[in-house]
Amino acid sequence: MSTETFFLIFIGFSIFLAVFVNYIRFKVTTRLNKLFLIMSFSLLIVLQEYFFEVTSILTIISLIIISTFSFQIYVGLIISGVVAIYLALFTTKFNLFLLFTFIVLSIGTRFFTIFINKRKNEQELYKKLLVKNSKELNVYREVSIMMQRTYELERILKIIVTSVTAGHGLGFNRAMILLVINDGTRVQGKLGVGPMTADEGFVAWELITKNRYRLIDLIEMQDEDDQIDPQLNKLIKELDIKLEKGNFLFNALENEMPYIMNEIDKSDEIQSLFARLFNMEEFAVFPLITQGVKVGVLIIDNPVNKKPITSEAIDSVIPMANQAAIAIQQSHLYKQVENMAWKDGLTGLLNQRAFQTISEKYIATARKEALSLIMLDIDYFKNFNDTNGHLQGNQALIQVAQIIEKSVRKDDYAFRFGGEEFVILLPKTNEPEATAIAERIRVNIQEEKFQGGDKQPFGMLTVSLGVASTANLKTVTTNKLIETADQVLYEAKVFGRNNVKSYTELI
Amino acid sequence: MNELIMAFVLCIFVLTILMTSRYFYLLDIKLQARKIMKRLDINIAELNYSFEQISYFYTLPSNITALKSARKENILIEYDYDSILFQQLKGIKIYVEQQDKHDLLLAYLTINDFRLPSLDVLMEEEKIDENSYLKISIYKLIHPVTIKQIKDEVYKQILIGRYDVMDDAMNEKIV
Repeated sequence: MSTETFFLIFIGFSIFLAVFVNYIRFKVTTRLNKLFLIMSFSLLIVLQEYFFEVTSILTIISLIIISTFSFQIYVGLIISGVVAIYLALFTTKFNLFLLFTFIVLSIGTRFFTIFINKRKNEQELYKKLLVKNSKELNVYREVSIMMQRTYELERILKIIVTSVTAGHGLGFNRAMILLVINDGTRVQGKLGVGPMTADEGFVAWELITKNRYRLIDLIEMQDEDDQIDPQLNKLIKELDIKLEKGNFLFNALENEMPYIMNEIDKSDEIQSLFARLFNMEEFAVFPLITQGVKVGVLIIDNPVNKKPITSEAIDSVIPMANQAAIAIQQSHLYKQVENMAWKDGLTGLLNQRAFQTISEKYIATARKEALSLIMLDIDYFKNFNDTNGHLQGNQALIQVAQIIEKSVRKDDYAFRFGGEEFVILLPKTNEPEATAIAERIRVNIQEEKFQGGDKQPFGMLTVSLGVASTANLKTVTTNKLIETADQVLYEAKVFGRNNVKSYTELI
Repeated sequence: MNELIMAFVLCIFVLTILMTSRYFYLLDIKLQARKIMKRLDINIAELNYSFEQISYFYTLPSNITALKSARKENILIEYDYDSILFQQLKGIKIYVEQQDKHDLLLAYLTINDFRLPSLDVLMEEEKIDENSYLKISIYKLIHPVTIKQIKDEVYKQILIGRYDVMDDAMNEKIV
């Protein structure tokens, strides 16, 4: 065999050795992986010496570099020593200068590796921070857009808890919100998202990934389904906690800072309560405060993956909590303004403006589903005012409003129409049903004790009621319905007051 | 002369090591993941995952020309490895190809964030360890079907962003 052919075979063998080493080294542990690589270089040196009687210094240098790069400097130095002994025993190439060169090479490689690793770690850190911050920024932006689309408190709360828990969001397993009530003396449970047990969490997680739900889909889903995490929400809604000095909710709101409860402090009754109710082992609480107004608290924990809650995680929730506090407070203010615009200041019932909007909504479908209206007027109310004074008159109006509210059904609407006149709008109700409800109101008012009522002509405060329904009208408009009910009410007055008349009776 | 040839042999050896290491790393991941999945009776197609863990570095839909005019073919996926010698997949980089410019890094998905619920359950039940989890999740991530789905998802994000509902025409365009 010629030398050229032998060289070619050796090159082929080197390629085979490299492929073989790569094939096996990923099957073993990282340490063995590195060891195999060093061994393959060593084998190459030995084979070069054995077959060609060539001591390749370049291959030896590569071996020392790989050894120091793979392991610590000590391994590089040991390898340098072993190579030096090998050269001394089996070759004629050994000299002290070469040994010195190997040692310097090993030290140099080590410093270079440290430098490279430092740069690499820095780059990894930058990448990690970029990914984390981009993700958080996307979540805040997404949540902010969704919050801007609504003033409804319930929806805002859903957005907050879903964003904190969704995979794309901040990734906590469970979140719940309690809102401050009674001028800041108590907090009441409002809403939560998350499992009660780890198994429940895995099922939900599988469902979310299977259906590829986005954050917005999860929020929309919650809008459709009021029964999301029913067991958790049942427990949360039962929570009504007094804010007392010493309990963690009070501390978070008073000190305006979040707390991580790594362990349950059994001396804090409220912490023990949460641990017991929700199987909590570790959790964090965030105060929801905006412009000095304490609106509530957000509580998060990880009952599924048991991931520890870190200070870093806390930092990522704080902007969300601040945004949530603003949104909740804005929703409260919007509700107040809406109440002022839609509600009668004295009785708290809906006012005429509200009647216009609500009645228009139902009159549109009144041909398909009967819409009834009761008009109520307090009998001899001028006499009541003249006898008992206007303050007592106002009190009577409030009492009448309360009785009306108690006497009507959940889907009915009660309005104060002006003075002592009230209107009740009854969707999907025919005239006989409406008449029965009117009679119930009349009886309840008759049986109520009003201060100064005994000075009325009947010896008590009474009302007259007129009932009309779109089912009996040729022209179905709001004005026609009111006009008809008003005519019927007039007949009730003429008939002797303290009675209910319907349009059917009139015709 | 012989010293020169040995240097040549060394170069061939080192180059072969470097050039085949990624292939053998991924081959090993595939073989080991398949072995573990066979033992646990798991089908790769049935492993669900979420796109929600992809971190986007640009607001989508964007006004940047490269993103605005991007087609699905312009979306490139590059595996991100830890080391050239001791390979370890860290995640995938998602680029948008630009004419006459560097490709634009649009998003990144780290392997640690690529969680698979079925594996989470198995790990909770101590049927697999973190290492096996990693191997299967890498196998799932580099699977051609997953890569195609990720490209489709990224293209969808480029077209409509995260917030809007997609109509049928848009859906057809993406598919």
